Amino acid sequence: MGSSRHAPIEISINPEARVSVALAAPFPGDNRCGRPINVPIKIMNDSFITARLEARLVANVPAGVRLDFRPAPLSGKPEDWREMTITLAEPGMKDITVSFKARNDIPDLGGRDRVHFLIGCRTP
Amino acid sequence: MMGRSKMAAVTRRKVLAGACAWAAIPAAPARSLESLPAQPYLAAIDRLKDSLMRLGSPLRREDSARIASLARAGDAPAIEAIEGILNRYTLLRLSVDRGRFVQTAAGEADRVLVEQGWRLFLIRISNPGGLTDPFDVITSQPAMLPGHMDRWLAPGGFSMAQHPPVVDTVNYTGWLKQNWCMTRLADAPALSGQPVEYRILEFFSRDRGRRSVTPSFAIGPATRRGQIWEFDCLASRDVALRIRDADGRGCMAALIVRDDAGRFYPPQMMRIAPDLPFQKQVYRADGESLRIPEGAYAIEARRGPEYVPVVGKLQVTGGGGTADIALKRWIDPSKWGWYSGDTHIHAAGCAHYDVPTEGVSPETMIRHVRGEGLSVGEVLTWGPGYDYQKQFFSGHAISPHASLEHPDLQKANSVSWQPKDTPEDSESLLRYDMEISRFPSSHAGHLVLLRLSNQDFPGTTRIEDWPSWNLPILKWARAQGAVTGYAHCGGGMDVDTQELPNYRIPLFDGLGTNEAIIDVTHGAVDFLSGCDLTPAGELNAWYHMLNCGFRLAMVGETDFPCISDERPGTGRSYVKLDRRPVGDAGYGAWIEGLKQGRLYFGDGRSHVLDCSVNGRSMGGQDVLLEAPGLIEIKALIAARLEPAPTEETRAIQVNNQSWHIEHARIGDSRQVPVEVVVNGQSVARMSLTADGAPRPVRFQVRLERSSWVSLRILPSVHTHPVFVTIGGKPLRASRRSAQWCRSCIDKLWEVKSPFMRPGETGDAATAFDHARSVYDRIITECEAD
Repeated sequence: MGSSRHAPIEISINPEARVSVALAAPFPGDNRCGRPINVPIKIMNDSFITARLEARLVANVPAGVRLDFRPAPLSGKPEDWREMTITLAEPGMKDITVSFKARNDIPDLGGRDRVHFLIGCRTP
Repeated sequence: MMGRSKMAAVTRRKVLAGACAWAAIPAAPARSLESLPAQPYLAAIDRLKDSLMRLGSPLRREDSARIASLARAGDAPAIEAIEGILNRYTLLRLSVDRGRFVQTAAGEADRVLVEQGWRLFLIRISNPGGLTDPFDVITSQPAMLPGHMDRWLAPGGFSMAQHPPVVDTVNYTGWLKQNWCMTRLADAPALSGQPVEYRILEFFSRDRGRRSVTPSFAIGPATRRGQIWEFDCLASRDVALRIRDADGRGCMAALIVRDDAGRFYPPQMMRIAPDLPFQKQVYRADGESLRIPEGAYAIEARRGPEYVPVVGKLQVTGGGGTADIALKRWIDPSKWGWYSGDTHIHAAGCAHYDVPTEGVSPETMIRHVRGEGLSVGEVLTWGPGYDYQKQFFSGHAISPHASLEHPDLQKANSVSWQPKDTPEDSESLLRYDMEISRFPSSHAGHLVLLRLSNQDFPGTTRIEDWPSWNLPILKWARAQGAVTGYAHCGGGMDVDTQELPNYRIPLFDGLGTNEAIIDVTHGAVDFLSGCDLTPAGELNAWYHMLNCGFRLAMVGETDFPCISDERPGTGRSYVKLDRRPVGDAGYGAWIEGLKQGRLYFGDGRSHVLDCSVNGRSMGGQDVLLEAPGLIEIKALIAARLEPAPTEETRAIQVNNQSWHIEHARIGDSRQVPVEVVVNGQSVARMSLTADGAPRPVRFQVRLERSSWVSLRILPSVHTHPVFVTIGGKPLRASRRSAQWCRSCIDKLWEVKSPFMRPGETGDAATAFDHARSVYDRIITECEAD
């Protein structure tokens, strides 16, 4: 039975271990520059894989943006949760793209492995 | 800059005219761009370029290059210049304020549509208030019940694998009579909140000639009416196709048609089966046709890796056009008795659909298999679409007429071409079988069950009832005469080296070889599958099991369209037969040859047309030697690289981590390495000119003990071993290999047993213990480390 909790990012892992990602809820607002912004991630795993889930910034990576994501192994259960933190050094909006994949596996096809979003911060 | 008075006028109109809240605006003032944050804007433009490419309607090459150059500058003048370029693709410039009132102006894009086709335009949205509301462009009356479009319901209520443009006309007859056009926004449904963003509008025209429509814009809860759009809709014409194989017979081929702007035809975004939206190519037979607008095109024809792509020009006029295509083979392995097959393709799931649905029909799949020149295509029913697709299982090989599925849907979409038979049709077979994926046992590796006569595990009525580990399924399948193996064997098997062999224990955290290491000791595994992931991850376990004396094959597969959605047959196996496989008997011979190891596998760009060790071939009898000594390996090998690296081949080398002969190219030469592999070790090597000509090779190597011997050009082709028995002793090639397998069992139990049902762990533990004892015995029997 899946959890009814919502997360800004939802990941689906299909039976062939293709990792696809989508925005599912608003991102945290009122962020302070220099402080980590915690973004919950819900994972629906239809594949049993227990590989590490990896995340990285891709595409046009803006300066002053740091992504922290602990690439821990998946449980293999139908539902997992993770959290990534984004730290923005400077005020203003940034357009960020994050790609997800399972360790040593190929990304999902058709760009479904990645999600992009706008996020900003203000000076403390 | 927009004047306050005009905004005020809009506000008055809001009061007076309700939904008719728009005003014309001039082109974007440069001053507003100075305050535009560069990074979010440029990142979004980068994605826009990718999306247009993915949808088959890229920016012109010179525009794309110019934008890339300007993006590096990233300042206000550069952004202004980018705006100027994009304006040439822009149909509408729309400004929305915080009250969701809009002002519009025309972009510079030519207002030209295509009869019975799709064109892409940009919509520039100025959104200074940072709204993040849902946004849509409405050009026709609602034609469906709420929610219908999301699921693409077709007659009978089932959802479709494709993205038909006017599927709703099936359920709502007459809709097309009221609406000559249909539009759809690509990508995200909501405004991003950026001050300036571009959206892609896909625009379908039913008609030719001059047409007009008045759009509305849905912004959150508000709907605003826009100004009239007038279009010239180009007539589309039928292009007759004459497609000849190298021997002059008519056949099926893969065709890629593009105009000078780089747009693909038929347009990708709204194809219906058998044309698939995620492929550039479509498959057509001799005598069939394509419907495309008047104009000039390049048409490229391929038929799998045994052919050299042929490119020609196509001119479509008011009278239509004709494309006369003569395919060009560089190699025909069947002349040496080798017949190709892909043991892992799907008609449902993955790239076929966003939501797992029922998939496409055998009539569509056979078109793709024929068009890739495959003799055998194993269409595997698996979790997604299982309940629908299992109706196509018959226990027989089939080669159906490539008719168009769902006639009502085809008619509703004005599909005009008629499928034709060709003299080569019977040379390609489909066999519907199973991949045990998204079943309770799938954690232990995905099984590929071929030549099944029964697809329902005893005592089960649904997937969830099947065993939670693999061996019971393998035993059930083999009891009915099936040929059994494991899919995508590199999954979870990679370690931090590409060395072959290596002795590091994988994490077994993916969907690869896994339980095969146990099941092979029970005599339940005929093959492993590769060619879709990294060679080291795929081959290492195979080498170790061969070194323990187990005789199982490795086969080539694609896992279309999951691991690759490019086409079936990117990974393939070639099986030696006396005659071309036709019908059940032909399939039976092909699958039996695969089981016996009369095969080589790879990407189809290298071929081991003849191979013998002391006169014995793969899958034949062992070579028998009284004592250690020299063996002679003779082979006839053909491989083909482009004469010199090209932009396309360099892209393959950079981006493709899997099987492709380009990875074997030695420097910038046209040479590839041919290696002799004995017990997993490369013991001899020579360079081969990969110009497509079959070339004899000869090696002599010394064997000290019973061994297996293969040839390979990695990562392009690998033969099944020839086994050599020396002094009557069983093959026990490497103690370290046996120890590797033994260690894997413990790791597998640790990782996989938590996913087994409690009631099944007892039998599983017993089976694992059996495997431990087998490998323990083999360790003691090995003379060599």
